[in-house]
Amino acid sequence: MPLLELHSLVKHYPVRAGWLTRQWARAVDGVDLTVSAGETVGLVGESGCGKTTLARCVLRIVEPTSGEVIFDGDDLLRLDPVLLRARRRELAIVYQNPYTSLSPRLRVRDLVGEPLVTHTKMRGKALTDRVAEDLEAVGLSAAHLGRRARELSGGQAQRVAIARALALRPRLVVLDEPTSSLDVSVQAQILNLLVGLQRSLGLTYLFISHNLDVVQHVADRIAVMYLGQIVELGPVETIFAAPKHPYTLALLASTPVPDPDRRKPAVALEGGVPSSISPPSGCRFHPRCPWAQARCREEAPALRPMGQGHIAACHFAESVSETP
Amino acid sequence: MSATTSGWSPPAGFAEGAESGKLIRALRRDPIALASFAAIVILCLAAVLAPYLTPRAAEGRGDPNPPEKFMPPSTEHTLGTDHLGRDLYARMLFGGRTSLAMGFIVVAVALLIGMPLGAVAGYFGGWIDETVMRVTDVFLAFPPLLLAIAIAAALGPSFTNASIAIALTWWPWYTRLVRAQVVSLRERPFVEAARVMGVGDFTIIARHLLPNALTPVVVQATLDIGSAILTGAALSFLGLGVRPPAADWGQMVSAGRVYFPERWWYATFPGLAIFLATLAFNLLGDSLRETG
Amino acid sequence: MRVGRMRHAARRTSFATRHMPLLELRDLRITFPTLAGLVRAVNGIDLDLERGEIFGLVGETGCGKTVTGLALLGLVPPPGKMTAARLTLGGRDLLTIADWNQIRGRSAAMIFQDPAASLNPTFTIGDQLTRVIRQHARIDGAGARRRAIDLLADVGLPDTERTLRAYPHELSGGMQQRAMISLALASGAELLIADEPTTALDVTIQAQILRLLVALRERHGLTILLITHDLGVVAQTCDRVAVLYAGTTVETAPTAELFRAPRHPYTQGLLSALPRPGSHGKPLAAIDGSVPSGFQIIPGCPFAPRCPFVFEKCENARPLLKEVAARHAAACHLFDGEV
Repeated sequence: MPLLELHSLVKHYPVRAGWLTRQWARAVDGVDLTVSAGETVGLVGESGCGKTTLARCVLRIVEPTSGEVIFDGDDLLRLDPVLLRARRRELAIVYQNPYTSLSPRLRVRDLVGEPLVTHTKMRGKALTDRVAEDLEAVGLSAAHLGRRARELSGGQAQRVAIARALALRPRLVVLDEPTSSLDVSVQAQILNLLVGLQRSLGLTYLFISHNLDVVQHVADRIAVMYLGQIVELGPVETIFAAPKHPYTLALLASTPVPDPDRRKPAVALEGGVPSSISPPSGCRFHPRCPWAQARCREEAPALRPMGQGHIAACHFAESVSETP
Repeated sequence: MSATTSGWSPPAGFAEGAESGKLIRALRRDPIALASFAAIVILCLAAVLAPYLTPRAAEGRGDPNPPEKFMPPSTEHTLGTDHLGRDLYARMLFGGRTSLAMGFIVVAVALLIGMPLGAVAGYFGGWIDETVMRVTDVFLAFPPLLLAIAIAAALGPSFTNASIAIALTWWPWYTRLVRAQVVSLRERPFVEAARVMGVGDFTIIARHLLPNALTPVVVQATLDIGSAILTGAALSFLGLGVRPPAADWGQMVSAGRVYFPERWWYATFPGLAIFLATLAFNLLGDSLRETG
Repeated sequence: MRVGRMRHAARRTSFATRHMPLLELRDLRITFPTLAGLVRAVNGIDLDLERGEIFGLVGETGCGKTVTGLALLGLVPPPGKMTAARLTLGGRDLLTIADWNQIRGRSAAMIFQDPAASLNPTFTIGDQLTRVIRQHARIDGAGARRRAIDLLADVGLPDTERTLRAYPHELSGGMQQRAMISLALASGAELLIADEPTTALDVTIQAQILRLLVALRERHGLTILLITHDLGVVAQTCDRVAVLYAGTTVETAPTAELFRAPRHPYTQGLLSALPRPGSHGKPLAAIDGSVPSGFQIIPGCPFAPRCPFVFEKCENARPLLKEVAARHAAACHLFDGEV
């Protein structure tokens, strides 16, 4: 059963180009995505691909330019403010850096208690007890109640951020690079915690990361984004074993594998990501694509089914392999 | 000890604490701050305990004692007496009450008006911001002392009116300061996080923005208490502030300058008090700013 | 031109230093006095860099890897204090050096995570590059310009003429990092200290920069100290590696050996904590707890509180680096019996 459905979601930002002229940065440019209850969808791509903007549109932190965000049957973009506020309880977000996403002056008790104070009538001892209980669920204890975020280690602070996000028992949690700034040993703790909480609370995750290894560890399905569009989407095993889009292939080939016996001889991609203000014609990836043909310059490829819930947007998806 | 891993770590060294924590750190680190703070505490205590620190409290409050007028400093009258024979030390104790009180009241009133306006303007932006900022522009277009003189003259000379006059010229500075802070904090992830959670706008301002915007405001306010004492003294000096027989350092300098330099003590000692108080607040404020 | 200069340098140093490591560091200690007491950022690190190798310095936040890199150039930020039993670069004693500017940007150069902060925003890449070139060689403006174009081509920047005229902000992050590397090359440095050079970059760009570093080592015999938190980067680029923990070296080995047969429990823990293809659905082997703060004086092994193999001796005696295989050393009491 789909919990979240995005239909033709678009977010264009105005960019001042000169005096009186305006251009549009196409941060998200027509995305369709379905997230089923209880699953984890990984959203990967390089900086500027629109993955974070997409998540912010889902939470209505930014107002999408057009499209629909259907959450459990309601279009969040057209919901009146009172109903939206009620629905907000069911959505939460965990940011990359807990030291900037947690108010620096507040103590853990108030940080984790704030959502409960905002949306419930829980106060006083009941509130403190509940917060302490939630802290234990994320591997902390009541001893941390009086601390401020900066008095905690990075891993502990991120646990507080998770407890805060889960305080209202949301159904969908957006995880925006939740471990990208943590050390490897702590990242493993947090990933284990997130997987465990998902099972015990029946959560649905939209997991944003630039780290493919992390995403494959937690995600059931992966969506690869490039310049505001999804270029490939499918079950995690399929994407890793048999990627169909050249960009996915390049991402996989560029990720440094912690195994010196599997050194990668060549660089998969030359150049950088073009500007989203004037994306390339046809297939947006064609200027960097080793397989590009004349057709790719003119005709934008549509997402085509590749079997078993796997879709890719490439004219030559069937013939893409390790070497061009 | 640097955190290169991926760009962040907790704030380096000693994370900023509450304002009281900052004060304690400044005092521990900087002897000048300690001396300034001690001077402020002594001045305030002297003002509060004035009736108990002199046997001539009645003179301090304004009762004349003509037989002893213009006595130079002596063991009997440590700082001498004024033109009505009142003990200058007692007068200054009571004068400190009005001068210091005016300093604190002016800053408090200015903060009370300026901070909420600045926070609201900075948080909501748009036409609210435009309106508030244009009003502050109008106030800031006048030289503050001139404006204070004009308002005080219009309201008539009294302690309350002088305080109101100065506070009215002061608040726009706090509005601008707080607005700038709030604008820079508004886009921080923790504010966004609170908004996503459905926390109300005014709760966000009160819980998440103002406490984090406070540091430069406290520094500025500390510096300003000194300036407010000085401005209050100036108004009293011009006869627009506290009226005799109540004592005020500025008004004492004004009265004493007629007899300078023959009866030098009359204008000198209140002048020194103004100087000391202003300097102490300025030095403490500077030290707080550097503690950052 | 570049090759000629290298050959000359090699001739000049051949007798004295051919068989000595380029860089020798013994017992580096760095402390920072703070209000709450002394922070021990580095507690006795040893390093030997062979000419022409890429040596990885890997560790987590607070392990002292960045400040170690800075110390090699005398750049420990004040009020930090550094001591060492020995520090030589190309046979030259750096502990008694009066003017670090004879080393910085001459024998050794450093690049950082954020190239934008290291480049001067008010000058073009060409201005900055020709200035460095002319500081190090008697050469006229036109010659310096030609050399600058060569260097930009050498670091793989396309359209060199236009890049010369570009200001740093007009370049992407990857291109800025390439420009930083060209500045290091312009100074003729033998040792390049690269502190997280690709951490701020996207993976496809990271791959390009890493390949460039490997190519420069091959083309110019550059010695590179690569400071990173990313074990994948180490595996893909380094010849040898040292793993740091809480300001000490816990293990050092050739890269292949370290990944194939890690001996120190911390290294083992790090490697098994990595999510990697195939780990989906299984819990990761996380290391409990977190890194100790630099305030504590640790009499025993700094990793003891998190170590699954801890025994009594670990709490009391600091383990020293011991050879556990050829060129492979680990600092752990588990190997006290082995010789």
